[in-house]
Amino acid sequence: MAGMSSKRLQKELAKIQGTLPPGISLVSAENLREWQMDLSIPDNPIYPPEEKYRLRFQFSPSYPIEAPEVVFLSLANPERKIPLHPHIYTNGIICLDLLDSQGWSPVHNVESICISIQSMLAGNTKAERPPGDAEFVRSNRQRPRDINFLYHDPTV
Amino acid sequence: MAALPPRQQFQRRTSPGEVAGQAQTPASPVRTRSATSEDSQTLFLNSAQEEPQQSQDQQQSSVPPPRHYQNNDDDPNIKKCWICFSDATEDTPETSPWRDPCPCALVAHEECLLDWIADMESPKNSRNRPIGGPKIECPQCKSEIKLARPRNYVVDAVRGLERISAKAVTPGAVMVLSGLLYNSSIAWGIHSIYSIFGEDDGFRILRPILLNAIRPPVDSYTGDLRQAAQTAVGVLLDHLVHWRLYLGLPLIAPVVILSRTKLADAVLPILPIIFFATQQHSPDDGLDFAHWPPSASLSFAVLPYIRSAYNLYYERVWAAKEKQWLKQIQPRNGQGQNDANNADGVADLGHLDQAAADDDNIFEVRIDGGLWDDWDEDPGQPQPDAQNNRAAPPPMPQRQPQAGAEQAQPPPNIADDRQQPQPNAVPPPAQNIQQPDRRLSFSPTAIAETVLGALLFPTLAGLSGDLLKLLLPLAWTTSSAAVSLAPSALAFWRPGLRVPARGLLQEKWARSLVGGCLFVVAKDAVMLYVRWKIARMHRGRKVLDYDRRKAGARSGRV
Repeated sequence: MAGMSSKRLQKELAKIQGTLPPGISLVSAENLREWQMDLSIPDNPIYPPEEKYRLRFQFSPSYPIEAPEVVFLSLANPERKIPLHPHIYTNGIICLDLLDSQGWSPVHNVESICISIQSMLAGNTKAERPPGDAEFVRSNRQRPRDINFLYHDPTV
Repeated sequence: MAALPPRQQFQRRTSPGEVAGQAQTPASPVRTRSATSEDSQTLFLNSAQEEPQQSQDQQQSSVPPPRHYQNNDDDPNIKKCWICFSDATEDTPETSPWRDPCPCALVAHEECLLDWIADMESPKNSRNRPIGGPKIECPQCKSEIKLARPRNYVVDAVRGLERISAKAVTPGAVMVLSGLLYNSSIAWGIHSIYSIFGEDDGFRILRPILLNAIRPPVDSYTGDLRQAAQTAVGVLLDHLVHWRLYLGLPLIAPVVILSRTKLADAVLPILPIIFFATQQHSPDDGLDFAHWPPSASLSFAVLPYIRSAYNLYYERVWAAKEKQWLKQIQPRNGQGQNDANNADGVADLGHLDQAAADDDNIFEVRIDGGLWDDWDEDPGQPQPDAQNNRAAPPPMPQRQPQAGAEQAQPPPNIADDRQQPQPNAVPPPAQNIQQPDRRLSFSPTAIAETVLGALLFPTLAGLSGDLLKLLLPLAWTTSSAAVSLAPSALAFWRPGLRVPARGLLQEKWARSLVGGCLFVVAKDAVMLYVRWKIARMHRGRKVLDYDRRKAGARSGRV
């Protein structure tokens, strides 16, 4: 249903170019299938307010039935780092139930994903990487959608 | 600016007012005017005090404009599909009908819904879900979305079968494995019976099993249903009659193994009581204590007590000394790390039990009161004793049972409690129990050794019995009537010529029993001697110097 995904993406794009919640901004959506957004977190000492984080959204032809792939990007110019969070690996992969095939439903959209990620970061109190981060980054070959995360930490 | 249509946003609406206001009060320091529209927001905030009044003025002059929404999103009357995000306004004749499947406000196109549901039910999502999918829930209100599928009974039947067979795999595997264990236990039980009781007696005991073992399975009679039923019932009855055999034989193996642990200490002495309690009064009265030689069932029943008595004796008399000898060969500075595992004299003997000590996969278990290495044999069989005893008299009334010895007696249970010394040729488990810190180490090798040792014991007991027969004078081991015949104890069993034995050792099972006991005692004695000797020889060790003279000559040094 590529037609459906394109239509929906266009609608979402139109909506996003209107107003967005504070801290979220659209960087580029030239390719309808790949968007980049910038995120900043107010009010959390772990994340300085002037620091922005770059998210990359990749949509498949079966969006919105299938979840988009959302990862943080690390860039040099402009400088963008991967935020420090116990559920975000240093290669940018995010462990969020919303992004998994089991937790995703078409009722969500790009904006709601950004808000969820933003609140996940804003409510974080542990400035650390996930356990097994180095090993995961070194040995992971799967796309994020294929990884089976165990969502068992409700406190973050 | 006045030309702006009234439906503009509120902010813009005040702009005409601002201009008017500006004209009226140019002197207000609060205002920072700018004509560009980007700042209209700022202006709006700054002049909040004044604008409302002006906008109210404006409003009074016109009818309140109808609420217009900037885009279709905000209009609650326009349906929006939550899957594809398109509105009802974009419906073409080809779009699928709208559906409202749940109590909340979400509506969607039917095709979108079906696509989404198909994805939810697909195999990639449902590793462990039942076939046919889980309940599809609305993401917002979580109520079930119901589908009407066309029914096809064949499809339903096949799906039902699939579900059942998926559940039946585990029980099936368990059954196969347990059948495997049961049959191997029976096979080993048969072997041990033979080694204890000898050929004739053993065959007599085991005969009911033999027929059943090679009986064709019932389903080969399916040609004739009635005959099949009769045969099945016959087989069942046969099993029931000889149930002691079918229950007791496979139990021999595990009980023998368990008896090597101290677990048995608590349980075993109880079993003979059960035996005595259930013993029927049969003509060949096995309970006759006054009559020598005792019946086989009686002797085996008494074994747990003999075992406990021997254990006690060993503890009292030898255990302390053995501990002392072992300690003497330790390094003088304290306990080596092998303490927990091994008697160290092993170094001299170089046995494989050493491997157990150095094994990498040692699990340390803190168990109170030490649970390892008993060279115990178990008289757990008195129970099968009793049971088999009863089975035998009916089928074999004509035999004069040697004081009721017939039934499937368990292998000899030699009362021997030994805190494990080193293995000899026979592999008892080689673990030392004397551990002051009460730690135990398991390793797979040690467990295997225990099990093997336990399983071999009946065979060894039988062999020792044979050895006894060879060593002892014939008069003791054969009945008087048969002494004149060929020196074979088998003559003793010749049907019709049965003479009750006069002495205990004239029966093969008795010889095996006594032989096993003696074997254990002898082994213990030898181990004690060896330990003692090693402890003594420990002092005499010397380290040899490397012989430099020869080396010097060879290399030509001066």
